[in-house]
Amino acid sequence: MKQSKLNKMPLKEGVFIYGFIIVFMVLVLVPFTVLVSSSLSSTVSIRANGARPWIQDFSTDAYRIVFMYPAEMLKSYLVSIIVTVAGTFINVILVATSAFAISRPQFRGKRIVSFYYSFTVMFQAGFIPNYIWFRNYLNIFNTYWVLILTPAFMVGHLILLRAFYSGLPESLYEAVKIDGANEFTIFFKIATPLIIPGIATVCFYSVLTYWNDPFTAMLYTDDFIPVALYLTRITQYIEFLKYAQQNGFSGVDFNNLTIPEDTIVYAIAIATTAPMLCIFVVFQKYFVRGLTTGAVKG
Amino acid sequence: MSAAVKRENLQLWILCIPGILKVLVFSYIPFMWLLMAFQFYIPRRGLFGSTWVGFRNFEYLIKSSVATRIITNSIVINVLGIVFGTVVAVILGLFLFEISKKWFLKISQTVVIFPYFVSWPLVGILVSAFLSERTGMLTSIIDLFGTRPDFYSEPDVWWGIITFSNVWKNAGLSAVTYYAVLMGVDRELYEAAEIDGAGRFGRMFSISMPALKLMIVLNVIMSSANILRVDFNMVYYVTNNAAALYSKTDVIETYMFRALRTEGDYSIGTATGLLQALVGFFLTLAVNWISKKLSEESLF
Repeated sequence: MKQSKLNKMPLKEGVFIYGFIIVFMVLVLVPFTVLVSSSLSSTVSIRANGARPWIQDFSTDAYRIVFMYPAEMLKSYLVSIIVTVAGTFINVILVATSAFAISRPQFRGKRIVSFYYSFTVMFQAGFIPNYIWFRNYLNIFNTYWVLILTPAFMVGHLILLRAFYSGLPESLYEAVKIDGANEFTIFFKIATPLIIPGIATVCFYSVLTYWNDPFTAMLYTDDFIPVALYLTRITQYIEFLKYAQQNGFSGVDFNNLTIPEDTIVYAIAIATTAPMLCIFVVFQKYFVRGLTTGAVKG
Repeated sequence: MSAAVKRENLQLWILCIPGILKVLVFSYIPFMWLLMAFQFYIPRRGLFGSTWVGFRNFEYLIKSSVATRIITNSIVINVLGIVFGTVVAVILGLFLFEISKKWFLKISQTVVIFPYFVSWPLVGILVSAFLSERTGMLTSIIDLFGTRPDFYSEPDVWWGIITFSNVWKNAGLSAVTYYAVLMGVDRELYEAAEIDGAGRFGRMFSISMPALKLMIVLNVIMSSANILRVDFNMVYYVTNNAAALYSKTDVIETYMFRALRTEGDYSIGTATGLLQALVGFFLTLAVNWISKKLSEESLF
């Protein structure tokens, strides 16, 4: 099918079309190249010449320093993993149950429940009322709960899953209903297993949102530092290293290593983001599928 | 209602309970503290012990120069984001659709979506790798020509830098959405156009663009409803929260964040938030009405 329109692309048009896409790709990739190459350069050469998309005076000092005291970073990873896993789980359960209910044509609360949810998108109290309520009354300030629950129940996910559930024909349920199955059985045993692709898509979105969210932790906690925030604590880390180097630190030998102040930020950035970025790229088909479903089913 | 239907409805209501409770506790109950906007709120005294001041917080806000600054910045940053984001995404989507080499399509799709998976704090670090005073790549290259710029104390360039970062991070994703819509267009239209002797760009204008038109219009007006809501993380991390840049980069969200976490000025912050929410609410109503009209008409 596709061949007919694709056989011949005149050179001029081809240069223009491929050229535009390639320029965009280069603009996307160059910053990452600068990041990686700077993290592998010596801090002296970076200071002298500035960052470049190629490695200058190869050095792994920055990484050695980052992994010298990995405890803080690992703690951040732990926070992020707990919040992301628990948050995604809770978000999917909350969204799926409601999405199933409002997808059922015979549900009389359909309109009112849908409105109840969509109103929270149209009008939000904002984060200051939330802050007072969470901190002084609900007592979830500075806990895992606030990080896990606040972003949960994303209305976009509700709409996506409702579209998936609505796509299932009612006739599917008739047979089990005659056998006396109730709506819970239909939800858990029949409908949800059939829309696993939709659930996977929502999981992907959810993981992405939780993992890349520095704001909730910054706003509603004092002591939790997920990896998205850890990046911004680098200056403190460097101060700590300097202190440790000057005053001696039990059991650690710096071997007269100069602290690579100008490259350590890049090494930390890579150490905290690379693993998850790889996972996102591997699973991105679920993401693209969500986009197409959203686009078609509106 | 028959007993069976009643039972079914009860079960469906029960399924909704977890969601309803979560939203009640995290979205509806906080509405109560919007009343802080009409008080001189002191946390120790609570909502019922604090002094009521009527509309004085709003008066203060409107008279102060801050309001003009944060509203202007929010609107400009959003408008620039919508305009450039849409133009780049549409062109990219149209061009991706014309690509015939499968391997190239696969690679380019993955690459253009990639920035969307990156967090804003990391984008902020990428920006500083180019612009930082001490080691930035762009800074050091400009330095070769004689002057060493200090971007982080030069507010005027930051509308551009924020917009660039915004497009860089998000346009690839919308481009792939547009591409997905084009994949659903009837192939025969393209074949017919080819027989008629339409060139590649001719087909883009006569077939692809009309196919995308509705979605582009809907996207644009939906973003317009959020014209006062700026992505906090984008502005905060791309600018590294540099105070020297506030004249061009302070937006409603960053102002409220400082009112809350630095100054503890709950009432002014809430008043700002309430104004923003009200404007957003009426814009959303308008936008819903417009988009309903548009999509109905487009069906026929």
